[in-house]
Amino acid sequence: MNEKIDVYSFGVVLLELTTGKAANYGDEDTCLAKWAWRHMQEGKPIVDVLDEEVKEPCYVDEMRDVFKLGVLCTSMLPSERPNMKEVVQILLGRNRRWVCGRKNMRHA
Amino acid sequence: MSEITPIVLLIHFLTLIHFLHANSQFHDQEQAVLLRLKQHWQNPLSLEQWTPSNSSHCTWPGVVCTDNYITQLILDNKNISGTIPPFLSDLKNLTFLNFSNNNIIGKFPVVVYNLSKLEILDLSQNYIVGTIPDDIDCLARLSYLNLCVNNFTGSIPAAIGRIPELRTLYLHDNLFEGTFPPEIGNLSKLEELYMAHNGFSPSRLHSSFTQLKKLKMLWISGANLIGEIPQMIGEMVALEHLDLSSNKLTGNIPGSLFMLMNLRVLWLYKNKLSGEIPRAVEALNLTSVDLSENHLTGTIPVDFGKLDKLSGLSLFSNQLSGEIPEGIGRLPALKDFKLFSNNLSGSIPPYLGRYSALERFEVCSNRLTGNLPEYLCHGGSLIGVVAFDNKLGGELPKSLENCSSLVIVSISNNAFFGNIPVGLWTALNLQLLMISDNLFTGELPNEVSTSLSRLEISNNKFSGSISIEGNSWRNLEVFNASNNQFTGTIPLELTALPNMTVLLLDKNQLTGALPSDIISLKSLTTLNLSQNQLSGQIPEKFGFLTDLVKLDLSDNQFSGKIPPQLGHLRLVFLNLSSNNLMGKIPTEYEDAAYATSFLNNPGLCTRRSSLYLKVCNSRPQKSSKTSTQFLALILSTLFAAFLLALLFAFIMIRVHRKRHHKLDSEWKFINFHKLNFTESNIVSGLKESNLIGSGGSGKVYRVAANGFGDVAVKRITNNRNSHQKLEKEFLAEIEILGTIRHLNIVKLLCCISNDNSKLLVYEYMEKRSLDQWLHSERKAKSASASVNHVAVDWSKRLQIAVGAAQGLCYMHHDCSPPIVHRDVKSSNILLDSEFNAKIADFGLARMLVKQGELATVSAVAGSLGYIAPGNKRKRHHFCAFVSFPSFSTTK
Repeated sequence: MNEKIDVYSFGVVLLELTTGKAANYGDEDTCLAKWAWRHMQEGKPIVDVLDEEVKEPCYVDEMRDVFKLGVLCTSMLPSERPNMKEVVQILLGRNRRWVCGRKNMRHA
Repeated sequence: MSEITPIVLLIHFLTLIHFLHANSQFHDQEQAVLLRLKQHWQNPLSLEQWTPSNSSHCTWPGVVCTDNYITQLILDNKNISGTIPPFLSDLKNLTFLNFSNNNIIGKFPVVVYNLSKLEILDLSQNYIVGTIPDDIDCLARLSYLNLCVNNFTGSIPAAIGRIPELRTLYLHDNLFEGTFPPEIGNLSKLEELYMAHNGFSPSRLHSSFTQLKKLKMLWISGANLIGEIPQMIGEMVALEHLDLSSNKLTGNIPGSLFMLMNLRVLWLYKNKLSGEIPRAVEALNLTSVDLSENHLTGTIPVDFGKLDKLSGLSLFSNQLSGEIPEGIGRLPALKDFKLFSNNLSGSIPPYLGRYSALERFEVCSNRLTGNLPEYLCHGGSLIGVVAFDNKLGGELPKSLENCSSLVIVSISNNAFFGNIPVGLWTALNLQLLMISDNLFTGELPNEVSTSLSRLEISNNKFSGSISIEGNSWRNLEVFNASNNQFTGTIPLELTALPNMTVLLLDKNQLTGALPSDIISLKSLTTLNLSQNQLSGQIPEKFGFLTDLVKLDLSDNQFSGKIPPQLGHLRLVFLNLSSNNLMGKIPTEYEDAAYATSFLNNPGLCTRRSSLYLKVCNSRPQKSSKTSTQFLALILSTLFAAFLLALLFAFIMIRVHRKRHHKLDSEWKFINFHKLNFTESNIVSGLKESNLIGSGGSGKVYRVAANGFGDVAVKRITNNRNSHQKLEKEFLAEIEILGTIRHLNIVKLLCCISNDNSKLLVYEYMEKRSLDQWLHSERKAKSASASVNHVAVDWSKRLQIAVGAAQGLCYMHHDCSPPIVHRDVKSSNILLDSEFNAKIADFGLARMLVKQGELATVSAVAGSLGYIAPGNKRKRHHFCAFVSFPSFSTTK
């Protein structure tokens, strides 16, 4: 057991942020992480599960990427999960599109 | 006449004068009331012409007089704001009062009770609140009452059933949350009853309603109706329009409904109705039947073929089986035919479309066999043919060739064969042509409909070359021609389509080089050309496809170097494997995420070691022995320093304790920051009124600390059973939070303790925890809290994700020894007033002194849903992901 258990939990938080669903989403033998993974595994469009409350065309790509990062962080094998340094870099690496978000915030 | 004396004449004359005088006095009074009304509503522009002048007020807009008395006030859409004032009752002769669609506020204006002649009252589309008064039957002569689209709440009073003349009652689109009374059934003259779109507590449709023998319109959709539709509904012989859709009605559809000779519209969709649709149908005036989205079983009644006036039939999303009765195909008025998502089998009535101007034909997701009917577009009005996921076959009917009204043809996943009728490709208004997963043959046309935006022809047997002429293809956005038998090259024209986002030509026999000049595929997001025989170099211009996220060129014969420009793309999926590429892969793709993107290209190499690719100019590996020793030295030094620091802290705590022991025998105070408040500030604030939360380990208070603003105080109460566990958590929290500082980690200001309780004092986080902002159930629960619950928009969420990640990153990578939180969850991510994330609750956290030590720690730490799947080493979960996210960073 090492830092990767935090990465897993943080992945669940990312899934919550993108889908708006709670961590225990799903029935007894599943959870948000498992459900999200299954959704991707079945090749269903990610855009369908993004939180309707915040989904806007200009955000969809970014939300989709963060959702995928959430799924990666919740990989079964700890060695397959990225470390937090990588997670930060991936999240920051996409700040190109923050411009769009800022503009919207000003309108709000 | 001559016998009439002058005196009598005089008396007559005087009486007349007197009468006229009285009348004009009353006339002036009524005008005064109107002017006061105008003033009361602060002179709205719409009443500008209400000014005293020579002309009578009976000519003013909205005012109608009978014998010089105001009898009607028709003030709808007058932009009137405010209340209805008491002096309105001075207009004693009003029979008709209409305030529809204004900004009237306040409660139901009981002043109208004084208008004893009132017959029509329309207060619809305003902002009236409160309940309908229990004595509404004071309006004894009312025949029309319209209160729709307001904010009325509570229950509809039984008194409403005691207004005997009522013919029209509109109560829909309010906020009623109580019940509606069975007494409505006593309104024997009622013709229209609208109660739809209210949140009534779950109620049955009262059987008393079936006494309403004059009722023509009954609209109670979206009103929380439960139970069965009363069997006696067939006694409502006047019924013309019945809409009980979007409720929770159960049981069968009463057979008597289909006996109602006046019934035109029957909408029962979105309920939980079950059983068969009644077999006998005599309601021959039906024009629209919508029973979709129920649990209906059995077959479609043959008698539906008698409904000569039927224009819309919706039975979709049920469990209907058997064949579609042939008679339905001959209905002369049928326009909309929606039977999709059932278990229907057999063939489609062959004459469908022959006798009516069919517009929408939607039968997808059934088990239908046979051909598409020949005459679907016979009436020239056909908009859509949606028949995917069936077992239909044969060639497409020739009649679809001249069908300029067509917008969508979606017939994927059937067994159609033969050529596509030439005219179908070019049907003037065709936007979507989706015919994948069939056995179609033939070639693509040079021209298509200029409206076409989506062309899906994958998994068929189309052949020949792809050639594009003119600009008829200019609106195409999605072109999926995977898995056909196309040959020839990819024409330059195909790369000149400005709106194309998805282009899939994989699994064909395309040859030649890619056009070096990709002219304007600027909006392309997905390009799959895999499993062809394409050759030559990958054009540098690919670097300009900035929106591209998926690129698959695998299984071709591409050669030469990968253009470095390709590295500028932010691809989520990249597959260049099984080609003849050579040289270095772009630096950006030297990442585990792209490990399988370059397989089976013998000439490719990478600068970083990889399982799958050889290393370019590989250098000998440095001996790692020295560096390991060095690392060990650093680690042991750091560890010693840490122990020293702990010892120091311990001594300081003791010193503090002693000092404070003298001042206050009860409380001990340890601060971790410079503070200007004392323990008594904090302790005095631990009142029930300051409580903001409580959890497993204790209660949390919001306390105004002297000169420091608000702080959050967590009080850990000692409970014998959990004492040891809590003590451990308390110590972990102090040990870790007291020593680390980071923008994204909650600040522990001090801790205060005595024998019975321990207080941890933190900076106060105005926006509380993340979970409260994300999950609607919890949002509702904590609605009483002072937090303003609006959705946190995406840019804020991303900011929160970044902040929390940076906090965790600091703990894992910048702390020595690293700290593992072990209970990361959205309720442990707190938000300050600017929505900056701060990691909190370190009660379960551990410092990783050395690798492996934590193996002894209980594995059940953490919270359900967030716990990593421990030691399950089975690799069934993620092995399926090849080249997965867009890691653009190097490690």
